[in-house]
Amino acid sequence: MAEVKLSEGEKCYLIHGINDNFRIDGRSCWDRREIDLEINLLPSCVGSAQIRSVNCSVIAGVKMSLVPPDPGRPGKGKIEFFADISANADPLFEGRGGQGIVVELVSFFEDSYKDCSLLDCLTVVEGKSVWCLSIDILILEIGSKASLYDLCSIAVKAALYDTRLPKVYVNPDTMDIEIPDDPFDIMRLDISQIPVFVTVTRIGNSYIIDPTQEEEASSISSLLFSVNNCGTLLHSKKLGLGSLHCDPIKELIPKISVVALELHDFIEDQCKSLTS
Amino acid sequence: MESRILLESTSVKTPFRIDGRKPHEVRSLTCRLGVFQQADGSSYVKLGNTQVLATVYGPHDTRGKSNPEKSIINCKFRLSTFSKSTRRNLHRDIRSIEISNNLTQVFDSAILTELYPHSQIDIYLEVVQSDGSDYAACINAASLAIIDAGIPIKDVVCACSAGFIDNQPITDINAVEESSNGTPILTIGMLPKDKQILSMESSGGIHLDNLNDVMDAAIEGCKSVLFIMKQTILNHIQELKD
Amino acid sequence: MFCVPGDRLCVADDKNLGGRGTFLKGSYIYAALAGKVNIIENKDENIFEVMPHGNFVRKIPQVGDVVTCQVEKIVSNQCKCLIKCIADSVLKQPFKAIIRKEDVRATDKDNVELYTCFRPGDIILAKIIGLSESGYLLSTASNEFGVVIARSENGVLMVPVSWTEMMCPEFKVKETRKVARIAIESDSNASTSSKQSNNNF
Repeated sequence: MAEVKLSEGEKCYLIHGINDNFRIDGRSCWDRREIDLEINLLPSCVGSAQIRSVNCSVIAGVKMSLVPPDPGRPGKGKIEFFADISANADPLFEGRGGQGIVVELVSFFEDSYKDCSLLDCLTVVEGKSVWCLSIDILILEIGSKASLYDLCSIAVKAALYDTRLPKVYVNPDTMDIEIPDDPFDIMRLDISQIPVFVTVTRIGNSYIIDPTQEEEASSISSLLFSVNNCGTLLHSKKLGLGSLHCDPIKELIPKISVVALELHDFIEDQCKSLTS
Repeated sequence: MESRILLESTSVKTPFRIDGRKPHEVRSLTCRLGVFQQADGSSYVKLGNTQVLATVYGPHDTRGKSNPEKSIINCKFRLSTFSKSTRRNLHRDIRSIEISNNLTQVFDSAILTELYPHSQIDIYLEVVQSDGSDYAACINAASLAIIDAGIPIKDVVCACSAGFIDNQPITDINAVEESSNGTPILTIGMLPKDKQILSMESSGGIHLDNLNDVMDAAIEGCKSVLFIMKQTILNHIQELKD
Repeated sequence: MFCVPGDRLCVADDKNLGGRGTFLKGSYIYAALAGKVNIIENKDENIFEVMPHGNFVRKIPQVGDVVTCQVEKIVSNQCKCLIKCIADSVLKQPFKAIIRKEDVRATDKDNVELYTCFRPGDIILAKIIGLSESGYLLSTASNEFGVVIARSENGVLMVPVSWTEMMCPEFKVKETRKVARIAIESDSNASTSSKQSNNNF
């Protein structure tokens, strides 16, 4: 994630272009760059996905375990997140260097998935035993920080689509749990309610999505929204320094739901075509 | 303790291993150069199910002391949390530190460090999926990444592991063979042209009488690996020139 | 002809010499990079060199290079800088360098006040004269080396007036610097080259 240095003239050129809905790589403000999605690449995980964009690459892996539920939520499963930035992305992230970015990312994921409907599907024996899905996000390459959140959410949603949990048989008399040996006796998860993240960045007088590093260097600030496919906003956050005016944000809201729906559809289509 | 048949003889002459390979067969190897745009050099190696990503940054300014005679090589190896069947703790792993030190020594001897005094070259390795022979796959991946970065190196460093089961030397150990009790494993990293060994690591007990055979098996494995690596490099250069 | 590191190129003798991207071992020349082999044929000798793929060579600053740096801080007897470019190529990561008090000017070396020659944030052209523990040693002791771009205390880009002064065009305040004399090819090129140098920094 090398910091890009831009001169005043270059920033000016970029901002004037965006005001006319024309970005330096030819896209319009609401166009996203191409994303390559691949699922089922890690045999050691029950679900995995890899996302590659122009200069961003993320792998998400899902592992499962049976645990007792939280005492306050006996009928809900658990989802844990863990993220890490590999030193491959930049020598700055060697060892614990990436903790700043990672902590923010993990807490946003945990807040968005807190009341997800998926958790109800993960119950095995209410009050005694639930599935805990541990999702590991490995960030291999970062371009702009704003598009990182979007891509991580796509990777996690695709990995959950790919997840194969063994069907558990509960003996009703003894409440004993039996896990079958048959590798094809599995249940898939319903990912329709899982949120995606949409980051909008304020540059000049407009908002854009999927900024390049140069655009991020000329931006004022970004807003991050976590939206599910019904259009419900689950969590939101403002990223970065700089202040934003209220009225443009209100105009932004209808566009956010359109973008989020597009992303949901894109992920579903890609995953279905990869598994068929 | 379940016992596994690691080497099954259907005939006296050709025993088969647990994954169906013959004793001196190396797993299928795929390599790619230039996987990441932001790094100076990068590579991806897939040896059977073991997947490794390597990136190289440098030569650039040192962070701390600099050596006036040659470049400092900084090599960091890491197993990602989902690489094995049980989740791993990233930050307290002594074995990773040991492997990082070994890799630093290997590449310190192979890279022409005298050309870049007062500078540092960083090599980062990430094992995305671990299925045996991680160390050997890492040496191969780092070697390709250094060549992709355009840093002068004496030769294409290649590595392979070998073991000894039921009086039979075998090449390229997978995870099942590695984790079974009592399998001795030897990993050799070498400069193939001059047959110079840069790294030799063994674990488990190998009787000295058998050591020659196991070393030969590893060196034969290195030759197969080298052939594929050279093809990959030449294809990559020719593609770029076009 | 393409090669990989370790390939033997030819016998090393009086006629065949190894150039960039090769190394000598025993009595042979070997390739050290992966790329295309280039043979430069002069009258009495052939030079074998390897052009790396991508056609750029890894560069670090060498003694004798002309470099562009940015001043970081000024201590009593030396000035700490970061080398940003070597000749025409911009570096991805800067290198640390220092300019000692006695290397700033060619004349009257002992009575130099560093604060009147450089300020933090200035862009300087300098020459590398050596290597030390705390970085590369630079010298600006020549007419064509010194401050190229500087901002006044008000933040406005200044214009050079003489070899010791620069002036802020808005507030008409003069500040002392050790200014570089950049050779101007022709009048029409001068305005474009100064605009280009502004845009890089």
